[in-house]
Amino acid sequence: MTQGAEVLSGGYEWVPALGISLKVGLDGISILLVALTNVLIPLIILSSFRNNYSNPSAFYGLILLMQFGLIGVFSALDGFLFYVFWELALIPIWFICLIWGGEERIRITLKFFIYTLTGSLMMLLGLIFVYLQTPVPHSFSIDALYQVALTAEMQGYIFWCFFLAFAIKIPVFPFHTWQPDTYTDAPAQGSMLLSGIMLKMGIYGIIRWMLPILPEGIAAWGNVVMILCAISIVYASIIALYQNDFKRLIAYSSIAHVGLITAGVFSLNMQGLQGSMVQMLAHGVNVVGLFFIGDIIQRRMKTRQMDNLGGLAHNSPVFSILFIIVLLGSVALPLTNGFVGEFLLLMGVYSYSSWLAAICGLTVILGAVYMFRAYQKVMLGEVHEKSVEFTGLAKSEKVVLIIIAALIIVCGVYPKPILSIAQPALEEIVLNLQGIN
Amino acid sequence: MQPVIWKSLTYHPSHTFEYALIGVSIVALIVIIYATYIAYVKRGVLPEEDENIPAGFPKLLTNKYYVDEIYNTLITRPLDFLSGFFSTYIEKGFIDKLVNGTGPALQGLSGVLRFAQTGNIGGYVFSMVVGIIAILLLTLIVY
Repeated sequence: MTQGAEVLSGGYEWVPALGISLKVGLDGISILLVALTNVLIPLIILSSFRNNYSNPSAFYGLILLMQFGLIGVFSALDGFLFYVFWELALIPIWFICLIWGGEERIRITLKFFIYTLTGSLMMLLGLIFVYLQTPVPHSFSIDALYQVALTAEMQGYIFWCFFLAFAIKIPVFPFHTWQPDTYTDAPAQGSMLLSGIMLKMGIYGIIRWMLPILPEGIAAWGNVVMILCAISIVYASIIALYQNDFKRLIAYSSIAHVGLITAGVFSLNMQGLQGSMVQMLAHGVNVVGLFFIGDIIQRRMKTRQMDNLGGLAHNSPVFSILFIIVLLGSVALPLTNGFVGEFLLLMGVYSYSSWLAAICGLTVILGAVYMFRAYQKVMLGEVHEKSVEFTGLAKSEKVVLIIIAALIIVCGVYPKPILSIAQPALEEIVLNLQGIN
Repeated sequence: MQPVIWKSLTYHPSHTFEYALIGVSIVALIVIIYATYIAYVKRGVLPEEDENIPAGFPKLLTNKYYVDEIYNTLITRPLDFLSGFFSTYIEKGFIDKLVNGTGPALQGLSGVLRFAQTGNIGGYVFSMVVGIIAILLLTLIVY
């Protein structure tokens, strides 16, 4: 990050002997993700008001601790500090899933923890290696790490250390199997935190740390990642068609969407990177809306199985309208936030390879199939015997869904401010990559 | 979508061309409305029952060129099959089992390795010497 793109920064020495500092700062990329965190966390908290969680002070305390960790990740300008915040963000969500999760929570959270910790340790390994290549006295400062000139072969090895951590967090096929289980079994607010914000840490990590430090590693292995992303998109979309559990369907749809975002990043051009920024925000907003809709249904109907639902629109027209707006954002209808991001992403991937763009484009088609099928099963058709009991939305529920619907439409109609904020920082990354490749 | 996409399209078709397109569409629409009026209002023809429709082109039209059936066969059914196959065999049957299998695999390995922890110092020294010899032999072979 250079002075040109950075708009706000500050810091203190933390462990001078090891070149570790408490340096934080924001550029266009970080600002958008910090904004996403700070917009979504209040909505997530508000969305929980109808749930009766035991020990609510601990629950909300952990959400706020997670917010602290996430903002730290998005603003850290020191490699070690980034790692500390990365791990810090994991701990609260682990407790949230473990304490307030479903019946299978112990087995599933252990799997999630082992997965993410393995990835994190690989990243630490890579980070320490790069740190040891900085001039003496070594430093974890982002500027020092950016200036390290590793051989192409070495960059290839370090690439996998970093990528494993980020690919697990995103997640990208085949490192994804923790995700559907965890999203399904976590409490609704846990699923929102994980999918809405936490997975963006992985994509942010690639943009902030991998692209500038390992350009030759990216050039060598980028095509492999692009293929994995294409597989993620098609594989997850097709599996989503089979799901009867509404939450599990959103989990798989999320894998498909983030697969496209990752492909956009690895297309290494301006459209792809800008698309990834817009889509990170759009996906965050939309997936929080979808998980909240799932929570509203589950709380009232005591089931998420779509075969046991039907005709809910008859009982709550307001809910059905807000649901369809969120759904349209998710399937990337023009004039919704999802369209802007996916359009730019597909343009970026097309510049990289027209074949890959054709495969990645399936996410839009298949996404529409499984989402509309879900809407049809849940909201339309004959009123299921259980659906008669479905009551209208409470005030806090309406507020959350109306804000989400407004964000979907506003960002879809006028995305220019988002694009302009991210432009300088992304331009710098693209210029750096073009200079090296 | 400025500033990412800032180049506007430079090609604009002429107004004459646009009016011609609109005109052709309107004429086609009027012809279809007139033909429908003649057939169903003036002559009072009622649609035949499906089973009485003669084979050939009328049958093809009645069945909407079989587009739904073709779509079902080529797209919907294969996708549903693939979806079930991926979910049951690849996701749960292979990837999940592979990931979940690492725990039992490590447990099994540790179950075997724990027999090496005998507490017998002589045994440890013997293992160490065997190890040193193996490394030396390997070095000789490689270099």
